[in-house]
Amino acid sequence: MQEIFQYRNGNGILHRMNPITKIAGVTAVVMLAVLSANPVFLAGMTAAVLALGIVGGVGRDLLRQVPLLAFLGGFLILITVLTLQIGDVIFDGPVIVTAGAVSFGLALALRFCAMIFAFQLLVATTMPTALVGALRTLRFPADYALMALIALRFIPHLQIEGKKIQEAQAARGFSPGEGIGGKVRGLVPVLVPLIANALGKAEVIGLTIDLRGLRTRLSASSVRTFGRPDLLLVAGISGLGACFCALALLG
Amino acid sequence: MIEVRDLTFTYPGASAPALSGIDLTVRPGELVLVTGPTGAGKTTLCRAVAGILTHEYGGLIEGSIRIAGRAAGDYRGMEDVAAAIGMVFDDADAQLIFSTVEEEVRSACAEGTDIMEILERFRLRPHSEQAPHTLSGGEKQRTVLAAAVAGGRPILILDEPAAELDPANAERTATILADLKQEGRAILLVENTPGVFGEIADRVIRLEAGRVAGPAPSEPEEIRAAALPATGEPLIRISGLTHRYGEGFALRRVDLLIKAGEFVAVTGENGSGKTTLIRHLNGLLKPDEGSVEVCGMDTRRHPVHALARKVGLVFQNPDTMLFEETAEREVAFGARNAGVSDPDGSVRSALSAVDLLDRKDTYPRHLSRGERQRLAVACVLAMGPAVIVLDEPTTGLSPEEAGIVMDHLRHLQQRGVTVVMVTHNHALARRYADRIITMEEGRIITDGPAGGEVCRKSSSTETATASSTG
Repeated sequence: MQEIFQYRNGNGILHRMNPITKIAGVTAVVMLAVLSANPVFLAGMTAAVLALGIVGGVGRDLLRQVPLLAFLGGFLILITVLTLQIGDVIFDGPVIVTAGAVSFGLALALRFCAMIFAFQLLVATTMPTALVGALRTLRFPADYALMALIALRFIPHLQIEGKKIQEAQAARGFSPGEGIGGKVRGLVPVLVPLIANALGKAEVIGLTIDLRGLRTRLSASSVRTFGRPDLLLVAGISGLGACFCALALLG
Repeated sequence: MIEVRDLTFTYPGASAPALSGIDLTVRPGELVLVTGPTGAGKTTLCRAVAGILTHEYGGLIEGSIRIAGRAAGDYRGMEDVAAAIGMVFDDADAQLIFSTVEEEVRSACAEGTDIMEILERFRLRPHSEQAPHTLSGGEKQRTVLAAAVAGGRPILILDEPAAELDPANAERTATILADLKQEGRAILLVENTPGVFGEIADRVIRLEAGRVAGPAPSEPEEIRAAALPATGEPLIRISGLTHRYGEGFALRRVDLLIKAGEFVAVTGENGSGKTTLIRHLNGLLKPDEGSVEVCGMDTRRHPVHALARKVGLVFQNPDTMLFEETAEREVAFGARNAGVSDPDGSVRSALSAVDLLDRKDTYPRHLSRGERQRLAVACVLAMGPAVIVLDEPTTGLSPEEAGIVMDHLRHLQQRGVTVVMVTHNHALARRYADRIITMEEGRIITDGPAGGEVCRKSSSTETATASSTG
């Protein structure tokens, strides 16, 4: 099973970057994605983040998210088209589809993709200790920085545990069926043990963090110095910002 | 180093103390082993000595706990205690926080510590770049032990570090602990049974119901109950089974025949392919090559839920499946899924078969570990399978509880159910199974009657020939 949002070993340009620069980059992408409603700009930004991932050696991790993001994006567009009617009518049938609704739905989906890709780049190329160190440097309280660490740690745990539970229930002859109805029927037998077991593990993780002295040990000292890769990212983000401003002024 | 005097502890809201009148001293260079059945208070004692009860739990603490010369209450909190104590909990997975083994160990060390030397010592250097959750059980345990030891802390507390380890890995852990003892560390170790740690312990203390008790009851003699002879056609036919995980092989051309009514134990080191083999029996895994046929059903052609009516698989950790509000409803879930003709009768019969009928209204997670394990057996039993497959059914159980679970399995076999059990416990395998299979690196290397002549396999052809006669 391929885990999502997990660090991948490597020595690419993103791995060599200072985590603070990457956090700033992700913040900038999120802000630009929220501020812009221009599908062309958002598509360009998503492509730029994807290209950066490929150059940084984690492109496959990003591409693995595409089917899920395509499904979620399609769902967002569908909901928007069904609930919003602005601009020219491009289809007049049982459902009225407007150009404004399609454009807005597309912008929502692309925003989502850009933000998820950018976050994935950050966590796939930054060791958890370095990430916590960077957050501490940015004056994040230790408890919040460690909470972020635990949340990331829990993603593969929940993936693996969820699969085990699904298998255990299948071994008891449980077959919830296909489609949305099946997903709903399958929730309780999987979620109840998943949550109960996760709560049990959370206590041990908390005690382990305390007994290793991580609150004080994961300090700003573990953060890299700034270098050329950081300048390149700052330049790239500045370029995106300039494009955003130009498009805003033009139209 | 550790001094506990007349310690009594009652959990918040509990009516009776979990520990009563405990006296314990562990000096530098000593290893004290605490044994006892589940629920005896061993884990509570570990947490008391680590200062966790004092700083995290609340509850009523009477008596005194001194850690490295200071009263537990004099420490400012767990971060302060951490300078003196390294602790390993029984759930290794929950202690693996970081993304590589090296990062995991480094997280517990002071700046400038030679990480590679520590990884070398714990035989983890080849795995330094590996994600901890992808390691084998033994490697995970060594990683959390390395992290606990790495900071140079003088006291080490280990709560069932070998619960899921095979004998070879438990032996390795014991060797490491013996070295740490020589270095002058004070070690408190908790296990259900002394096992290999009995040989390196300076003292063994047995807890029962929260109190220090007398010596452990002697192990039952190896008297084998009479089993019905296995008869007829093979119920399970495995032919040329190969399974790959990524680039590596988990199983290599395995051939195996198991007849109806047999009680087969599958043994071998962690990572030898035991669990992978049994997960093929109900179709959770499909063969990459070869075939698996159970009760005449080819597992490649039937979904898991259909095979589950013939093969009941009991997972190593019963908590993986428990979700209902009562034990009775938990058992009924499987019976309903299997569409058995008399579900109420099946549920009562299954609960009765594992001696849990009087606990049918209990919330499953409030049962003891041994009872939960028996409940898991009842859950598959109610589905009326011809074969019950169990993955390490006695993990985490005391010898007494393990004996109860195994006696129930023996009774099921006498009722005609075929039992296949993965275990690291060779004594249990010899005592209860009719036939013992040993696996190594994805192959069956020995196959023969328990206590009898062992047939050593060197090739898949030989395996097929020998198995068909056994």
